[in-house]
Amino acid sequence: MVRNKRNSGSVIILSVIVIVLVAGFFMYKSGVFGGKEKQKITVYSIFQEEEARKILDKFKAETGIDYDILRLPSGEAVSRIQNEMSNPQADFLMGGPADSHQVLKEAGSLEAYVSPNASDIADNMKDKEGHWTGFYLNPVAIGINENRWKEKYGDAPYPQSFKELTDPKFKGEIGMSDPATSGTAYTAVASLAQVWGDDEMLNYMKELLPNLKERPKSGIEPIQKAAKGEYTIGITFLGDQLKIKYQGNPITSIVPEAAGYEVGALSIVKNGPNTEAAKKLMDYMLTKEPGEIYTQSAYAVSVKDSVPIPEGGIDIKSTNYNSSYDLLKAAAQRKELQSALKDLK
Amino acid sequence: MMKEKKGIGESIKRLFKDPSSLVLVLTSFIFLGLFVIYPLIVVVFSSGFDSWGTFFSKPRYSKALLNTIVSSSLSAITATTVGFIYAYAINYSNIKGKKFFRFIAFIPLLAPSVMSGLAFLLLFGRGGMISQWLYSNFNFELDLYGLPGLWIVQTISYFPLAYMTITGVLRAISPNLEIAAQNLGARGFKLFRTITLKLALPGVINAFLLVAINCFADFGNPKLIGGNYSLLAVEIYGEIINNEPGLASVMGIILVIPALLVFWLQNKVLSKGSYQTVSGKPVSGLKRITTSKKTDAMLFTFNSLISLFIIMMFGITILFAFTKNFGRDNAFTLDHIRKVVFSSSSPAVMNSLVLSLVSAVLAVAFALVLAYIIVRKPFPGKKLLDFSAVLPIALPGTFVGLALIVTFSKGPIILQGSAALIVIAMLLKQMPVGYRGLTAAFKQVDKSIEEAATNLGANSRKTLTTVVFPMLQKTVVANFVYAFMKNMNTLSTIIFLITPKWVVAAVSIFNYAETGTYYWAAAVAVGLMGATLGTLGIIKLIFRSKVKIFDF
Repeated sequence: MVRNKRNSGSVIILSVIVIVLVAGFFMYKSGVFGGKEKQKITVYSIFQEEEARKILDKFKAETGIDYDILRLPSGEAVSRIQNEMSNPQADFLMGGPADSHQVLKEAGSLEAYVSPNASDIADNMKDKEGHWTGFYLNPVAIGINENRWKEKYGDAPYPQSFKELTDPKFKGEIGMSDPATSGTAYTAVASLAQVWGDDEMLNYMKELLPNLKERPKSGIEPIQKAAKGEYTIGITFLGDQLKIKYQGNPITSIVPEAAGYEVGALSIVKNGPNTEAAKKLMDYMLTKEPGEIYTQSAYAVSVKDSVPIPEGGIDIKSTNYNSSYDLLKAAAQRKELQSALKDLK
Repeated sequence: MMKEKKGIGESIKRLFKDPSSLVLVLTSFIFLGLFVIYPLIVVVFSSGFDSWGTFFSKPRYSKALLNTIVSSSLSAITATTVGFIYAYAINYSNIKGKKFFRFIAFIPLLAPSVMSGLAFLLLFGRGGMISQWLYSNFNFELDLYGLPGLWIVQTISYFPLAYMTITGVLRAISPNLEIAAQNLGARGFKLFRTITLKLALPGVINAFLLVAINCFADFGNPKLIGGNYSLLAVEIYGEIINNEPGLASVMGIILVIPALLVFWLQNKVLSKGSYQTVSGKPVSGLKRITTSKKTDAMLFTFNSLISLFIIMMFGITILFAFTKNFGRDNAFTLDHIRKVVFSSSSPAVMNSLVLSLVSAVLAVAFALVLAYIIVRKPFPGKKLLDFSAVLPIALPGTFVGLALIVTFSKGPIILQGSAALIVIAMLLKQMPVGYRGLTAAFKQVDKSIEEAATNLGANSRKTLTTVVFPMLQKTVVANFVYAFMKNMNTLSTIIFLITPKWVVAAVSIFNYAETGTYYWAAAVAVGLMGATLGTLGIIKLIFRSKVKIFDF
């Protein structure tokens, strides 16, 4: 393009260099160099990327398998994997509620693999055929802003059960996301329905409604707002409450009787580019170290007893949480319950 | 020379005698047909009646539409005002530090607009530096999420665009007119209002429309700081995630309508009503009448405040990139940069650089081919080709990305998951700019010069390479630089097209900022700016005075 004598030489040399570098980069990307020893695994992560990278860096140091990672919200991860079924881009889906993995299983997008390291995980926290395997638990909890509680209710004891929250004195003091749209709130009510029966749960929600200050879309918002003092009580997952507490907010968390929980899961994408490596990663994820890395940063509880409760975390076994919560049943009922919930008001 | 013959049959016949031109024409038609026209048709058809019904029956979407109109109008008004004052101060006043102010207005162009959003969060978000300071000192809680924050951020990130557009217009105003007005007794504000502002008005309106369209389709900032204030581009993203391409297409089309309207306005109305003259160079010897001392002081304060704000935004980003966790642990560290910029597992910045270069080269090359055949070669369907070449400029980035993903993830041609789609999307957005510039440049190269070369014995290839291309060199390089910078910073165009292998820096910044991993977002932003600056530096070293970079 450029025919100016003074710099045409340098331009040509430079363009050659650039073309070689670019071509080399593309070849490197498609794995032409390094052969098979330098394997790569592609991960969709619903975890925060920082935690996922911490774990994957350790995995890389141990096995020599490098990684590409893309963090996505769970809904996007599900639709991406489904859309890519004819030409899967990823090998491994890390994190996200087990319901999402179940959706993928039913769509036929997941590879069945029962890791030898999964034997000590309770049956209701993994898929029987190994399409997905649980990784952590996060129960629903009542989060209370201690300062605002003191202003409003003085020395009264904190509510220990869901039923106490219908007390009229809490009018406008509770935040809970909308169970018709938020996975967090849906987990809470689905568990209540399993323990109490559908009708009693609906009655309870009807009584609770006047006390709710708002029903935001996102699951974490109620505790953020309670922490800021916009209201006293926020119903969210425990891990979110603890995180906000350790950011310096006066929050007390109570896991009441019949509290449901989220199971964060792992799964292998069917026909991914490197399924062998994905199986290795699955085995590795179910060892102690990744469990510790994750639970420590998210204040969640591992599905495995061998992984200690993180510092500052709450052992849910010490609470009254609904240990028999059946997430598959909850998923199956979802449409029906949510439409019944929409009729309340 | 050959006698020119007219008529479609004749032009086709001539085209067939010239196979290389035929190949160029056919390739252009196929490429634009496949990547501009075909996706448009697919989008229009995949937005079924049901989806239109859903869109208009659910208040959620009409609210998003209303919000989008309100926020982009507000942002466009303020960005244009700020841009105008800033440009006026630089071109009309006697203030000091004009070079510095020009430099400041250039900085935001180095980073994606979502970086302004990130910096804003770091300063004014929950736990942001200034919010915390206000809270601890005055017990004042700053909550700017939603419309106020979005308004501020879009104003800051788009005022340079308004500034540049308006500067061009202000410079073209001949001082004669102002001096004449002054001789007739107009002074101070009256002079400004009746002459300067009036002459600049078409440019100001143009700037307003440009900014409004950009805000209208902006995705990153609304998602980051919009909070519960929902906007159309964000809703589209949500529907793509929900696997509702129909609804997404409906909203995409709604997004396109005002953009096309503006495009049409610019072409028809503004070009006619413009007071600019082509030879609008200031007459030598005449000095522009400038502002009074009092006005100077005000303008200087204004520009300094804006500059301070921009410096703060970039400063805090750099601080976050190079400290462990700024505000909590201020220890210097290169860890973040090492982890997210120079790591084989985190190639986002490298990806951006490579894809942007490849796409910019292709965009300019294609623009050159198009401009050449459109200006010089007769063939049927010229109008159509010209139209589809310019059309993408009017389409919001979100829409281009949406159309490509909807079209090429299913159906006969599947390109989803490859870097090709990203390159094509960037190319489509930048090629029309180069095409417009190069068409104008081609037209300026008089045909007689080429004919002279032919008469002296040069064949058509030699004429092109030794006569025409050197004359176009400046335009080519300028367009390449522009396309490259835009590619490096694009987010909304490619957000749907990202694959795990080809994550680009702007998307990383957005993702890290959204999940609160601020130091990584900042580190990627710094890496991206470094890569852009480095590349521009190399280009400047090669072309020296031929290319206008870093000339403040």
